[in-house]
Amino acid sequence: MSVGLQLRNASSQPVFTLDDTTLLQVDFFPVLEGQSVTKSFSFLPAGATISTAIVFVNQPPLDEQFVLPTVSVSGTTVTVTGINSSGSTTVSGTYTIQSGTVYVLVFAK
Amino acid sequence: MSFGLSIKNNSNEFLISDAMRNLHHHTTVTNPTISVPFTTYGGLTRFTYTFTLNSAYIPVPFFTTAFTDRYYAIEKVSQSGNTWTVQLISSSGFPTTTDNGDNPSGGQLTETITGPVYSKAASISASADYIDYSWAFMSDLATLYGSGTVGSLANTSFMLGPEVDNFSNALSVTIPSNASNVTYTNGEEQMDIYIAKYNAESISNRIGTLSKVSSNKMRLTIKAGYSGTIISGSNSFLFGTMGVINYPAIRGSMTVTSSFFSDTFVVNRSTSNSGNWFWGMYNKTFTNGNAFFSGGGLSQASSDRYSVIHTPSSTSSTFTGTAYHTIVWNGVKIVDNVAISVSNGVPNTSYSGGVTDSSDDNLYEIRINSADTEPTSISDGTSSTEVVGSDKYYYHRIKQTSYVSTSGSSGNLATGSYGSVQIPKLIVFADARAVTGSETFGMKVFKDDGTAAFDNRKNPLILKQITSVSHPTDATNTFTGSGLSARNASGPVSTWSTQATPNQYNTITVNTMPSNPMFYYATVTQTHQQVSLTEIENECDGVVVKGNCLGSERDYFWRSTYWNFYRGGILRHDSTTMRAGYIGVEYGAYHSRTTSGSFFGFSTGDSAGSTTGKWAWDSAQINAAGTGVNTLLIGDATNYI
Repeated sequence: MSVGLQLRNASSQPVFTLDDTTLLQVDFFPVLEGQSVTKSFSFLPAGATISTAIVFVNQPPLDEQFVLPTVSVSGTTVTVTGINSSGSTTVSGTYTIQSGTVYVLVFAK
Repeated sequence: MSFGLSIKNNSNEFLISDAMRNLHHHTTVTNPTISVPFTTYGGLTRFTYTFTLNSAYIPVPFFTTAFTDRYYAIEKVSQSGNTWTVQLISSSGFPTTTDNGDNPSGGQLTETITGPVYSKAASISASADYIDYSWAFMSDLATLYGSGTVGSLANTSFMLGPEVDNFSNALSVTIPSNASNVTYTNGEEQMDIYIAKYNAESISNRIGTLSKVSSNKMRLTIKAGYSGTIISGSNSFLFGTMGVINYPAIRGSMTVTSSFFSDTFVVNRSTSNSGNWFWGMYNKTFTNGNAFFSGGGLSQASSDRYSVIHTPSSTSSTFTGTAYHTIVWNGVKIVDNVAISVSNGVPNTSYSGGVTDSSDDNLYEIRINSADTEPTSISDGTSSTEVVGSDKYYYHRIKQTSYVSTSGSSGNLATGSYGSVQIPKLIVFADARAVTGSETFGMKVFKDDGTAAFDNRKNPLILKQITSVSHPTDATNTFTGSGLSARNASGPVSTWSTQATPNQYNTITVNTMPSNPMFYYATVTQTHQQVSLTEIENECDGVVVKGNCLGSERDYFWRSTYWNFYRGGILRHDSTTMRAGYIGVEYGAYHSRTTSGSFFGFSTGDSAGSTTGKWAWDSAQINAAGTGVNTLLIGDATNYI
């Protein structure tokens, strides 16, 4: 980096420069099994681009289809929509289709 | 933003904002509990990490991937109070080689420590060879050539510079003293560039033009046709980072975009047109064998490995001020002239954790000459020192810690034990409120509520790349069921296991990764594959006449369904390639036998057999796409372990 800001630590090693990239944490929240959540982050500065990451809290159970809730981002609003359904096959019979409990991590850059 | 702080990077992305929170290094966990549920069906190893983090925050866990032939993924993140648990799964079982990491089996990322070592090919003590920093500017040339006493220059040395006379004359006569000495052509400030050969009698060839392109850029254009004239023999022009200090008109770097004589070079320039500004570029082979531009006077033979701290304008071991630190490893400047603060001979820099701003992402540690110990001052335990003019150079031994990826298979057996190198490290990040820092200085950014959004002291997360992956629909294309029995789900397991082992993946090309990368990848994609096999067996109690049973008979309908359940994983194939494939996490089979009986053609009813071991749903892939699905973050673990 020839110009701009560079932050160094006590050992004089660069911590941040303007050539770096990171993700800033906006929020995180759990979404329980089959539930839905909507969050608005209107406080974000202009130009912030929201992204999300999802991680399961539990392992898939043996008796249901462990689907993800649907996540949508519109501007500064994140909507997580749970799924409660069922399906059946000739082999397995009827089974539950339900969104599992997840943590939703909301980032911005 | 009406108030507060936002810092964006060169790609217009937020780096720091008081409206959000940076992630900071919370802890690195290296001692998970390890289980190997099975080594069939591709194998599965499960690593369970626990650590403490206030439940008001959430961990963002990254993991290292010791093996290059295994898939990894975060399976789940859960908490109980302030105790968090992260489960990481990996394909395959334990390594076939039992060791402590010193003798790993193939396909692993291994930590290698070399040194401490010291070797330095040549001295820079000859005054004729010395130019401060790796830059050329005319005042230095005057020092070099103005006195006419530089006898060590070979006749093969050239100088390229503006209005340069032969060097036996006083340079002040012909060097432009300020910007007004240049001419203006086509709206551009231009200056002719000449080439002069040392000890040559005259300058006769204008080889190009140095132009002011805009307020902050200079362009060097070299005329065609000079390649044969100027460079001959074994000499070649060497280019590197170039700048001019003390002369504010030109600062920065020159970028060579192609070969010397056929292209355009750009020199960054400050906005000022006033004051003295000089520019020079020349090729010169020093008596110590170092080329000026590549070496700046420091020895860079291919076998050179050393650390050097340069104290400008001082030879005192109790130097106070700004010194410059360079590390040369195998002739390459790994750390290049980094400014460090020194007080009474003691750097305000601790090297106990290694020098991490190296250009090759390896760790380098400075050591004294007699032991594997960090020096306490610039003069403590030096391997050698040199005084050049009024400057001094303090040389030390150096130790390198690097990561090397070996090839081959890492094996798949539930025997033996992992060494520390083979166990994935879990590197946990959390927001600044959850992380403690002990240093007393740095930059801290607060949110409106007075809590920390960024803290320079807490090793904030830097990412190499943010991307996503997608997985193929099936984990394997060999799960046909051929050779498996329809009766009682009796396998054989070896055939089932072989066919069910994942072999499908998508390739994701990424930016060149550091040698010791870390990944955030939480698996959500799941796929289920199954095959059903059927068989009908007829049992006749009477006499079979022309294929017909005369008497009591039964048909046994055998059906066995074998299934495997996979979760998505990522594999670090090489420095620029990731693979998205699968890890087998569950398997099972169930079977049924129904009997259809008849007596002289009249049905006597059905009976059902076992239906155990079912999976909830049939062959399909789920959670394969969508917002936030299969996010892959790549960072450099070296900075956090």
